Formats: sequence, C-alpha cells, structure tokens
Amino acid sequence: MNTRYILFILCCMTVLVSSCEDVVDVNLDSGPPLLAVDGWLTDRDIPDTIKVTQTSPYFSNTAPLSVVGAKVTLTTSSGESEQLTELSSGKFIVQNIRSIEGVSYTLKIEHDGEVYEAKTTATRQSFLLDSLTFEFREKSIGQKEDGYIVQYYGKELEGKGDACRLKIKKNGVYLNSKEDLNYMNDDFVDSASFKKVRMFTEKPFQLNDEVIVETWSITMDAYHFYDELRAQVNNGGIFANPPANVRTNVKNINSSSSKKAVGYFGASLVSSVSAKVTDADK
Amino acid sequence: MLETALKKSKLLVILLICSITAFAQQKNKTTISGYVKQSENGENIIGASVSIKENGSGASTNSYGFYSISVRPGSYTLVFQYLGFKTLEKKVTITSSTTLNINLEAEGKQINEVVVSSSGVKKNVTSMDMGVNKLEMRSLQKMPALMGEVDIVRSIQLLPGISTVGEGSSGFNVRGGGVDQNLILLDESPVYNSSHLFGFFSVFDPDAVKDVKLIKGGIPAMYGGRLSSILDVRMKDGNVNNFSTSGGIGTVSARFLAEAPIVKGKGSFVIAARRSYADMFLKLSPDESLNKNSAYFYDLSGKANYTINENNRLYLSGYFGKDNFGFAERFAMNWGNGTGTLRWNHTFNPSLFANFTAVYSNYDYSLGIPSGVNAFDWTSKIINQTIKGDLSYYANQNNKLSFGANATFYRFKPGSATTADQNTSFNDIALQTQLGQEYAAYVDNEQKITEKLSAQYGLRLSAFNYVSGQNNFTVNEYEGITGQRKEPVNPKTYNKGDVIKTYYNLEPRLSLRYVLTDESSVKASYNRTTQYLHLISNTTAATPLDVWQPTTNNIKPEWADQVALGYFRNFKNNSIEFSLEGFYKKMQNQIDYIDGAQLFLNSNLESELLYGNARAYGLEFYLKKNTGKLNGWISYTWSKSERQIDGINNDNYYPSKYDKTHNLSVVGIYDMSKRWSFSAIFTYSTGVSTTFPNGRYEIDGIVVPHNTTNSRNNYRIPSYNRLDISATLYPRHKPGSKYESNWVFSIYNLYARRNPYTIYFQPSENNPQVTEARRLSIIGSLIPSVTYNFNFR
Repeated sequence: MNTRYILFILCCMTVLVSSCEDVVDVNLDSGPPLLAVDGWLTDRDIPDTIKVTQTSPYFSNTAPLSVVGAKVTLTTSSGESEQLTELSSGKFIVQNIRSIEGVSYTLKIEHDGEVYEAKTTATRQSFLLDSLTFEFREKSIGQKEDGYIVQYYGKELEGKGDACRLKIKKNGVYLNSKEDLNYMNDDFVDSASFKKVRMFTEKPFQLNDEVIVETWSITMDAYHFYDELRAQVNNGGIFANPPANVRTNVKNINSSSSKKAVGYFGASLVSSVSAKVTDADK
Repeated sequence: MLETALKKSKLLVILLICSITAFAQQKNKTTISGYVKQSENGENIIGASVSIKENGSGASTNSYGFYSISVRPGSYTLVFQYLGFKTLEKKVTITSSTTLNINLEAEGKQINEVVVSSSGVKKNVTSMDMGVNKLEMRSLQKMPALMGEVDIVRSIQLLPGISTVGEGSSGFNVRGGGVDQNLILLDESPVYNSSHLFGFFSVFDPDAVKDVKLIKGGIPAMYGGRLSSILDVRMKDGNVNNFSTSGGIGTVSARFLAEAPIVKGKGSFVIAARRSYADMFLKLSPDESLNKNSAYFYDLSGKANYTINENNRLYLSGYFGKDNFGFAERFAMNWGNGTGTLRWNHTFNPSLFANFTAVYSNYDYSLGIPSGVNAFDWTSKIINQTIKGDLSYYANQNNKLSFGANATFYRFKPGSATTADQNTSFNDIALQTQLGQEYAAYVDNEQKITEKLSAQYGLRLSAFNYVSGQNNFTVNEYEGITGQRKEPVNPKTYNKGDVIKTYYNLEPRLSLRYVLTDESSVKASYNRTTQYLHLISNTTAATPLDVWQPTTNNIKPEWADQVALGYFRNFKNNSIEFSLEGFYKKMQNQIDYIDGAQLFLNSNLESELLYGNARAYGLEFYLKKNTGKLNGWISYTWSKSERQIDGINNDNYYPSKYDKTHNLSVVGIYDMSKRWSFSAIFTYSTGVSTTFPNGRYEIDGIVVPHNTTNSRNNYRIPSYNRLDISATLYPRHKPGSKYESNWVFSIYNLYARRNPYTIYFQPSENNPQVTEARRLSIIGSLIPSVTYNFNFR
C-alpha cells in the first residue's frame, strides 16, 4: 500500500505546482552494449518466451537489437533441463518446463564468450482474487478522462513474504504502459481480505470493456525489481529520486568481467479473474 | 548513563566556577547596563551597538536588547547606534554601577519618508562575527517576491554561501550542508519543517518577525545540535505604548497582526495570523473536479511579555501552522509545526544576565483516505521538550563569559497507519516509538587580548542517549553487502526507558579577530559541530513526509569541522561593507540511501542506509550598501560540495545535489522619492548536477534507462538565471492620520526564462518507444503580483 499512495501523493504535488515541461536536446554518451534479459516462466497453457537483447544508446529510439547466436539453457532444481528454441532472433521459447511452486530455476545464457546466469524460484500464489468491480469516476487530477476504475475483492494467505504482480488485459490485450504497472507485497496486507482495492491503469475503462486481471506470484526480489523500475521510469518532478540503475538477477558468472547484464528472469504461478463493464456499474 | 554524563561535565563545571570567581574578585568595577529599545513601540533592539567615545570600548545588545559595559568611575559619552535609527549620544558620570535604558528613534518615522542614514555602523569590522548575515525586515518588504509573498527563507538564498536544489524546494543548503543541518529557531524553539506549500513559501509570517540572523561559520559554543548553520528568527514582542494593527493582502495570502500593551509600559502582546486564500476560488468553480478540492496553509503566532521589575521579565510565545490538502473524499493530507517558548530574563546583577527557557516543539503530518471501505490514516510525529539556561557574565572590559546548559527530550513516532473501517483490506501498523535525550553544557569567553586582537573561544560538551520508547522494543544490527539492502541480525529487546546507546562529543570553537586599520580587519575561525538528528529523505527536494530519525546504535552522530578565514573592510564612513571569506568544511557520518530504498513505514529503515563523508570549500564575496537612496548588496560564491558514500558512485567523491560552482545575487533598492521606491533582484547560478543514462533496454515493452558507468551526478543541467523587479507606492499620507499603507507591484522572472529544475528521461507520451529528455521548469513564465500593506496606530 505504501509505495502506491506515496506515488499518488507525489503526482498530486507535481500537479499542484504549476510547473511546465518541455522536450530538450541533450547530448548523451553511449555506453557499451550489455546483454538484456526479459522473460518469465509460468504455468500457463501457452509456452513462455524469454527475450535476449542488448542495450542500445538511450536516444536510439528503435526496437532493441537482438542478440545473435546465443545459447540459452533452462535447468530446474528438480533435475530437468532444456535448451530453449530460438523462435526468431533473440526470442527463445520454453517448450517443456513449466513453473511449479517451490521449484528453483536457472537460466543460463552463453554469448560472445561470456556465460550469464539468472536464478529464481516460483513462489506460492498468495494473493487470491475472486472478483472485480468497476466504479465510474469523472475526469479529475490523476485521471485523464471519464470512465470506470477497476477494483478487486479477494484475500491474502497467512504468512509474510509474499508478493505478486497484477497484469491487466483489456479486450484481450495486455495493458503495458508504465502507468499500468500493478504489483504489491503483503507487508501491510498479510492475511487480509481485500474489498474494493483499486488498481491503477493509464486510462479508465469504458462500457462493455472485457477486463481480465492475472495474478502472477513473484519473489520479493522481483517485487523490488518492479518497484525500482517504476521509480525510474516515472522519475520526474521536484520530488524525484536520484536516477539509479534498476536491479537485475542476471549475473556474469565471471564477476570480474566488464560485460555485465541487465533485466530480469522470473517464475510465476498465474491465475485470473475477469469481468465486463456494464451499465449496472455506473 | 546520566551519571557518567554528569561526571564528564563535572570538569566543565569546575572550570566554570573557577573562572567566575576569578573574575568576580576584581575590585573597583562599575558597570553601565540596560536595555536599548525602539521609542515608538518599546520593542527591544537586538544587536544595537553601544560604544564609549573616550576609550573606544563597546558592546552590542543581546537577543533581548540588554547590554553591559565595565568601566572605571568617571565621565563618559555613550554612543548608541542601530541601522535605520537616529544615533544617540549620552553623557554620563559614573560613580557606581548605573542602569541606563535607551530609546532609539527610527530615522524615517513616517513609513513614507525616504530613509537616508548618514552613516553606517562599524560592527562588520569590529565584531567577532564571521559567516554571519542579518536580514533587514524593512528591506525585505520592498524587494520583489514570488507572488508578492515576503519570505525569509527565499531571501536567505540571496546571501553568500547559501544554495538550494532548485526553485521552490524546501529549505536551504549552507556551505555544502544538507537541509536538515540548519538549526531553525523561532523564538528559540526548533522548527522541523520551514516550508509551506511543499517549499514555495516559508512558515515565518513576515509581519510577526523582528529579527533574522543566520550563522554559518564561527558558530559560538552556545549553539549546537546541527552541523551547518543557525537561523535565529525572533518574533516581535508587541507594542508596549499603544494599540496598533497591521496587515496586508497579496495574490496568495492575507495577513493581519494586532499588538497592544497589557499594562502600559510594562507588558504587551502581539497576535498575528496569515492564511492563503487561493482555494476560496476553487470553491466557487462550477467544475466538480475542482470545487471539492482544498489546498491552503495558515499560520498563527502570538507572543506576550511582562516586565515584573528591573531585573525580571517574562516572555511567552507560540506558533502554530498547517498546510491542508484534500481531493474530494478520496484523499486528504496535512502537515505543520507547533512551537511554544516560555522565557525568563533575569539580571542577577548588572554584569550577570541570565535567560531561562522552556521549549515545546512538534512537527507532524497525517495523510490518508478520509472515508470509505479502504479509509486509513497515516501519521508521523516528532516532539521535543527543552529546558535550558544561558548566562552572560560581563566580567570586565576585556572579557565576556557565556555559559549554560540544556537538556532536550525527544519523542519520535516515525509512522503509524490505522484503518478506520472494520471491513478494510489493510492491517494496522505502527513503527516503534523512539526516544532521545540530548544534553549539552558550554563555556565561551570573548576576550580582548590587545587593542587589535580579540578572541572568542569556547567548548561545548554534548551527549545523546538513544532510548527505548516502549516495552518489547527491538533493536537490530545489520549485515550484508554495502550498497545493497542489509539483513537485520542479533535482535535485542528493551523495555520502555532503557538507554540503548550513548554518545559523547566535545565541540571546540574558536574565533579570532585582528583589526588592521580603523576600517578593516581579518578574522579566522574553527568550529566542530555535532548532530544527533537526521532527516531521512532521498528525493531531490525534501518533502513534508520526510521523517526525522534519531542517532541509534547503527546511525552514528554526524559531525563537522569547519575552518574559515575572512577579510572585512568598510568604506565611506562605514556605509559600505565588504567581506571576503574562504571556508573548508569536512562532514562525517553523512547518511545516504541504497537504490530503491523504502523509507516509509519501514521497521528496518537502517537496512536501507549508507554512510560516508562530505566536504565543501569555497570563497564568498559580499558587498553591501546599507544606506543612501540606492542600497542593496552583491553576493558571489564560488564553491564545491561533494560526498563520498560507500556504495554510491563506485565509492568515489561525487558532487552533492546542491553543488553550484558559481552563485551570484545582486539586490538593489532605489528609494526614488517619498512616494516611490524601486527594487530589483538578479540571480545566476551554475546548474545542479544530476545523473543521465547512457543506454536503454525494455521490460515488457517499457523502456528502462541504464547507466553502465554506475556513476552519480555525472552531468550538469543548464545554468539558472532570473531577474525580478518591484515598485512600491506609498499613497499620500494625510497629516494626522493614523492610517498608513503601501502597494507593492512586482514581477518575478521578468524575462520569463524557463529555468530547468531538472532534466529527466522518459518515453514519449505519444510513442512509448521513443525516449526523450524532458526539462522541468518550476516557474515557466513571468509572474506578476500586487500586494497591499497597511498599518494603523
């Protein structure tokens, strides 16, 4: 709860201050390209994709450059192993291994003479959402247009240390702007029952929108990853945090090598609830 | 623990008694002592200079307007001087100790008379002060101000050695110190957050303020508790002669002040109120998204004093201020300070002046959702109570001894969140209440060694106890890799009142002054300062939500050593003051934060902290013209301020967020005629440093910036400059009328420069794949304003 509200407060503060923003030209140095990983292993029916790319200069403004010729292997603590298939350049498909509660996974990437590893564990699904409701709100500070905000009911299992990410699909499409990031841990909601807890989206929903909310169980480390990511991609205003690099769990096994990696590999259990915005919600 | 503290301070006490008895044994000593006041309203004058023509010896009045000079019996001419007041000469014949109370008359008695003093005061050259600046409240009222609000903290930023992280940010930075390293005192009571409206304005109601003094170097031993500076703000005592009111209305707020005698000539009171009223217009708006919101601040201050007899006077003062924000029923937030001070001035004899003070101060904030199923209220609070005694012994012509002791009791409630509705989704949480006890004792002597050389030397002993605030209070140690979140280990449990950790510090202070000529001197100083409270804040500008944290078993006291050297010179019969000061300051046990630190409602806050050093050095140039039709000042600072924190910037020194190489302010006031006065301010400073990325990658379609060098503050944003102007109109004054008024018209940021506050990097709104650099300007255009001021007596 805390970070959400602090974000909200800081947004309000920025709005109150009648500031102005414009785009300016800045000359930036270009750093060396680093290996970047973005991928999650789940228990969904569809195969999971791991993207292996490289960092590009900040103003490159193109899709990330793929890594060519990488060898990607996934092993589990239960003894399974699978070399991932490169579907298209830099896009690797997990064919057989699925995410199972309590199992640890190691993703190994061999590329350009370097070996990188990312370790993670699939944690229990502790945030159990049972239904969604909508509430109509007029356009206001912090809401770009009239529309419906989505809230959920559910409960959280006893025992601290759980976290989740909530991914929202609108009419079959994932919402993936930085304002749509929803994640939480159970620091303040351990074994709570949720009633009408608000989720944040870039834009409110409209009548007849089909909304699916997926709950992805994540580790505390992944929680901090998303928290740091959100802080960095929303970092403006007079109460900005110092710009800093977002954590990564992808490590070069040769720690003295200058070739580092960025990004995250995680494993989740996924469950979902869905609802449709109807007239009754107004 | 307290016993050991007492034992250690025993030495100090013995020293003290020895020196007092030594001084007291002098025979044939007579003194002239008394109070210097304004004739019009009986207000004590702080820092008025008193000198004896015949032998050149002199003194200045203390914070209560009291002075005392030792002389041999004989006939003397005493000269009383204070800027803006008519110089008064008084011939006296002294046979025994004499009380001489003086009333000084303001030079421009009517507000619409042009004030032109014939000469200034030599104090700049002759006093021990270095690194000290005073703000003249009279000048402030004529100077252009943001939205017409006369503001003390914003005005301080025009003085040498002061910087901020940017326009509209909370607080100020003195000689490379953090915003929490300034001891801000309002009638001797600490103020924990000096800002209204997130930093745009300060909590001091200018109408109620009498005197403002900033000490940034050569800090005397009587002050302690913060590393970098003392901002000593004194409130008006109230008119002892008759009832009067004053006030004003500007674009942001309306002010009103009333003062009157309680018993004529013996006691008086003053009450002052200020409230911003922009939100009243919100209420009138037909737009529902606006009219349900609220946003305002207010201040209430009051003070009363009563003179019991020649030797005893009581003062009671209080301040209460709040900022309130509400967004319909969805969100509400408020914060504010409250302070109260009770003081008793007692003169034991004409050479021994004492002030005993009891202080209460608190700062709190609260925010939450006021109603509904997820209603909650989150609060945080710091409270302190202080008792202290400060004594001045005017031993003889060559020695003035100051000594005293104080005890402060702190209560920290860093955060608790409670839910209002039984059906809520959230659990109640409360961080442990922490207590702190800070003790200090000091001696300080100002000694005239030769005609030309004077020294002020002192020693302060301070102690701090970190105390459990509740039963089952858990204290951890932290282990892990520096730069990353650490794990709590070795938990220990304490009961309420248990002392967990004690620290002692000796703080030596020394200032030297050598007079070169009648109009010039050199001064040097060294001081060590210690700080036991820390403001936990990792945002660019401090926010009202930041929490004050005591020194603990893990967080060590901060300490600083500062040396300074200065050349002081007056010109043209003391009407122009010049100073050049250089300083070097080294600060230890500075606090910083790991990346992604969680600073709120975190019971393991210390796992997020990093520690290191800071250093600052610079040259300050100050030229001030006090008198004449054209007056004002030029202040230029060249400085560097750096930090070295293990776990940040590859453990190397990096520029602090308020480091500005060049910082220039030019302030000019031109009193053209009886009716018109004009003023202008120009400021220029180097842009602050910030961290820019050199690469990017994507997570789930979101572009994430990355800096492969891991450096902090590797770029500078463009420089800052701004010109403000104002004109003050005094309407024709009807003879005999008791009503006076003036209009102040001002334009802030005349050439509408979009000064960057920061530059940050974000995906474009229209195409998230395209990243861009965005410049945030807090003030994007020129801001005109009109203020009407009045007074009625």
